[in-house]
Amino acid sequence: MYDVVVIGQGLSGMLSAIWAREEGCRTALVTTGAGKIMQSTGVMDLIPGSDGNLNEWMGIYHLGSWQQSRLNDAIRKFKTLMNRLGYPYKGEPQDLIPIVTGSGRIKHTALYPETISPVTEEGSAVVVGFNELTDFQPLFIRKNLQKERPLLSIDSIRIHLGKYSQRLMTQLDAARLLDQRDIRTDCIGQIKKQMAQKQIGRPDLFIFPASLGEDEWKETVGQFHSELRAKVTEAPGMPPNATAIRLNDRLKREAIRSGVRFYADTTVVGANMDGEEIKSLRIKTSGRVSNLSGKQFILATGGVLGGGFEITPEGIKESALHLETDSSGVMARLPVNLYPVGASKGVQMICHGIVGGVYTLLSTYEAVCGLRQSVTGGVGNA
Amino acid sequence: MLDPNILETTYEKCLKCNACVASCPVSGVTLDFGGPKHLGPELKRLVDNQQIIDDKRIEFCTLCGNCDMSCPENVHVSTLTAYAKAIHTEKSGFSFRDFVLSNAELVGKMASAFAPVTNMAMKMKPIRKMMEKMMGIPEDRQFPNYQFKNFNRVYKNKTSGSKRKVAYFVGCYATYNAPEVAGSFVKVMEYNGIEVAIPRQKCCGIPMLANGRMNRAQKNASDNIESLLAYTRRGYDVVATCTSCSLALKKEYLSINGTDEARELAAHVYDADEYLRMLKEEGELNVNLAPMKDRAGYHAPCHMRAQGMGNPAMDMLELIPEYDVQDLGAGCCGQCGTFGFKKEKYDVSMKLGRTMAESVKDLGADYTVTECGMCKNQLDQLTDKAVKHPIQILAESYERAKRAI
Ligand SMILES: Cc1cc2nc3c(=O)[nH]c(=O)nc-3n(C[C@H](O)[C@H](O)[C@H](O)COP(=O)(O)OP(=O)(O)OC[C@H]3O[C@@H](n4cnc5c(N)ncnc54)[C@H](O)[C@@H]3O)c2cc1C
Ligand code: SF4
Ligand code: SF4
Repeated sequence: MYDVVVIGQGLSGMLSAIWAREEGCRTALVTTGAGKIMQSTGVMDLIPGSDGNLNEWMGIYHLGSWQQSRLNDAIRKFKTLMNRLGYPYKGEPQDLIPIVTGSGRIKHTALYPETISPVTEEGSAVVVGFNELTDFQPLFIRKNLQKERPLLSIDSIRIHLGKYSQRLMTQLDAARLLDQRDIRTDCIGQIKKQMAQKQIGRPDLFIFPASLGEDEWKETVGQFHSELRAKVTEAPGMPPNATAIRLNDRLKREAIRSGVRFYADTTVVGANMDGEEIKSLRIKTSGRVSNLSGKQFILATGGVLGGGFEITPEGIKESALHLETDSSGVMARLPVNLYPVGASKGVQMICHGIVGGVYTLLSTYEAVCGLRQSVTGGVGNA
Repeated sequence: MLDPNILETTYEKCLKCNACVASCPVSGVTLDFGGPKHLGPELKRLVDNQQIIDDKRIEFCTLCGNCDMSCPENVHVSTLTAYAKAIHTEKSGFSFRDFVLSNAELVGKMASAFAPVTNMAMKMKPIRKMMEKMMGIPEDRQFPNYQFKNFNRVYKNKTSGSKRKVAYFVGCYATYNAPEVAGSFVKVMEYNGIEVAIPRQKCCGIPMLANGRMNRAQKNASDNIESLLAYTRRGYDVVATCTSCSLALKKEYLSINGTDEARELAAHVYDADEYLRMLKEEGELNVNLAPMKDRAGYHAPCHMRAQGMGNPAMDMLELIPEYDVQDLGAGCCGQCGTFGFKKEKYDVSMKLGRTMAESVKDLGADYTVTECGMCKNQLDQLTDKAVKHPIQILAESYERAKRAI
């Protein structure tokens, strides 16, 4: 029934589905739930947990030098998409930039949204926290950052959003409040007042939680930037980070609008094979198990972290299609019409338990190229 | 009384990842709501360990199911919030208004009996002012019209001689407010040579669940299960044109009733477009559909999306030659059944609705298509475009094809 069936709604699943639609494929996306992108920082790392460069990355992920041009194509394609969706990404994997996180640590990342600015070695910065946000502590961040940036002069202040919440407020809640102009204006007023009181001079950079607006991020960042007359950056920390939710929600909306059919709250529990080919998936919703047929399949179940692999005493088991894998999760006999992406490719593709955004982009791009080749090989589409 | 019979999974799996909170439409527009993580798995854990906790913040939950759809750990969050609602109602009682609103069927019967009067009264300012004061139903909230010729009055039950047999779960909305939707469904089935029986049925129970009236919802569930099983056991498929009704029969009954019978019934239930799509796949669908040059925007009801069936309405509409339909991708409409009729929820309802209304405006299509009568109510109020049920479009396309012969 579908040309392409994607399993998983993480970064790799949604991107695969959007790109498959761009190729004119009738596309479905089956998913138990949201992907880890919702808990992520929204920036794309090369080697998670390490500042290693492109060469090290290529070594760790067993990539051939010919894949470097593919990587550039993948990143260009991703950036083009994000430009169109109104949430542009900057950066290059050849040239990692230092960003500050919600714990005050510096990490080097490859791709980041326009709401984020690099942290320089020198100059001055002010960390701004909101009283309502308990998991972003400006003083703590300032101390940690100072250790990593001894030459940077750092101050910290706390302001309040002025809204009472019935639940523990998150960075996303704060972002939604800052979508409102009057709240932003009030916050800027408080910042100026406190800086005057504490005699803090105008810094080079203001560091905020990942909360600078959700839909209205452009207006929010713009207003803070122009009225505070300095660069501003978001420091992503405890999820949900607005940096990541903006990405997630835009990709999801684009997938829906472009005609991807979502099978939500639905788990893939097996595959019906026809020789070397998958004929259909066995999918389970609460009331029943049924079959969903397709010509090609993309496995974007996120490996161990995403629920696609299960660690058992006998080794790693692939838990969606129940196909045989080796001890690292690589398919023993990869069906000819199946494309694993991201961490679904096996545990050697993860570092510190996480696959990393850049590898996710590359593997998704390669899978979609694979689809295209077999589509031109004669498979029709809608 | 409350014996949470939670399907195959429990709150224990919750990793506190916040995906549900970030996806909850209500949490997105108000900080007054406690949110799905806290009022679902976390509250349930407390209740299991100590005593029943009545948390008033649960009132804001609409039972839209977006939390279930986002949870990567398969926690049935909305089943837990439905129980939290039931606890709240049991402890704190419910208002006359919520009693009326949750009684879609009774209200339908009465309102349609006096239809011209009801409809007029609902548009009269002094009456609405009084309703706002005395009942907390916001004056500005538009209500759906009630039809005197309700579907029960016009449809004579038939017994089926066709190969496939459909037992139509009409639902309160198509029965009392939109008999034209029910009529279109019967027509579409006729064009496919399938006769339709209307089994004895009660309100699916969703409005009761949403107002914490768990016992009533459970009563309706067991009545419907009994009545519908009598049909499925004779080879009928149960089909609904309302996506909240089909969700109830497919999913909710498994958790609020939880019997083998509920399970047996669920396996035979289809959404109307899902049923037609299945006919198409089996090569049984009458594909003699006349071209229609319309441009439509499709609004997907939350309860449609929660069924994990792709997008059957779009799949069917795309079969109509020259028909141009585009998914609005707008998320929750904000009417949320009875929710948007309540004064203290009206602001939240309007905030949610605005996003949808904007996407309708941006698309600039001729009209909007949606399966849900409550989404339609919100669309009617917030946009200037007509709103149709997909089955009405299909019926028209079949009819044009017939006239063309
Ligand atoms: C806390 C956290 C922080 C992170 N921070 C960063 C960061 O700063 N930089 C970075 O580059 N990366 C980061 N990552 C990692 C990054 O988010 C992921 O590597 C990337 O998004 C991989 O996504 P994916 O699409 O491959 O898999 P996932 O996002 O894991 O998605 C898996 C999907 O598959 C679905 N699924 C699984 N099994 C089934 C089944 N049987 N049937 C149906 N559906 C199924 C799941 O529901 C889910 O939708 C972070 C991850 C986490 C958890
Ligand atoms: S059912 Fe809807 S409103 Fe209720 S908690 Fe879940 S997502 Fe929120
Ligand atoms: S999405 Fe699921 S696992 Fe995550 S917090 Fe909500 S209930 Fe818990």
